[in-house]
Amino acid sequence: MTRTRKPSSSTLKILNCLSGSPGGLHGYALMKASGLASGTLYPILGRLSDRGWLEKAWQTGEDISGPPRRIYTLTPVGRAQFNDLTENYPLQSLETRTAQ
Amino acid sequence: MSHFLERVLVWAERQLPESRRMWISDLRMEAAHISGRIARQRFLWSGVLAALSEILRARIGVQRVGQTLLGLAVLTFCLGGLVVGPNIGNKVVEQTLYSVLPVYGLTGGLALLNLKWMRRFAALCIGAMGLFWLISGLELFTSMDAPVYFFRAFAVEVAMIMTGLFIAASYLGWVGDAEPA
Repeated sequence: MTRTRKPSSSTLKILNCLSGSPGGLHGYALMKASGLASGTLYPILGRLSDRGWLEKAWQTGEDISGPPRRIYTLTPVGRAQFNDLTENYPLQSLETRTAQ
Repeated sequence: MSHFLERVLVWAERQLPESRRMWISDLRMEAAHISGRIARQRFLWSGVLAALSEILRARIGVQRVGQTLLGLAVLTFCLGGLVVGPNIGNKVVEQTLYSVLPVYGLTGGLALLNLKWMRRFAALCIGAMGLFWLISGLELFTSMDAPVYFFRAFAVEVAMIMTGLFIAASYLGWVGDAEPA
């Protein structure tokens, strides 16, 4: 038997940060904004991408040096899910920091 | 150090199925953009720990890891009882302790082998201790020349420990059934 769980506060923090950044955020900025450790953040990003809530794109432009960089944005499905979740689980208790 | 951590991440990536390893390569590429040695190492360390726990989950399963830890903890508790026993200096306490150590030992062994049987055994022990507590409260026994109050208190303690183990086993069973969040 499978059971569905309430989303973790970390998941809600990530969705909350991304909902406020329509242009998307790269992993390190998302880490700073949510206050989560990379080891917590990235597995959740992977699961949310698998569900179709997030879209991953490569950062383009001349301002990027080194290896390619992922930019994460909320998909319309993800945004709708986030809105549903915030109705059931208010975000008042979440402490989020503004992305630098 | 960063180089070593990156190599661990590459190794971890190879151990996981495709669906569970995509985030590791994203994390490695992101690490290259972090300025500052300490910040980059913290970023990678956290990723390495998460990758290793993902491997444990994928290969062994959360329930299996949990029940192994639970079983080892109970058996370590038994070993501690065996070490402490000879130094207690009170025959009654020592013998009572020795009489319950096999019970804990069996519980620890069952935790390692079969969680369902461990739960049943813990429930049986809780029932038996409760029955012992009730029966030993009869005047027939309390008037005897024996430390009945100590035995009753000991039975309550065993029942409480068994209740804790029962709850732990139930939780692990639930974790095994539930989907990852």
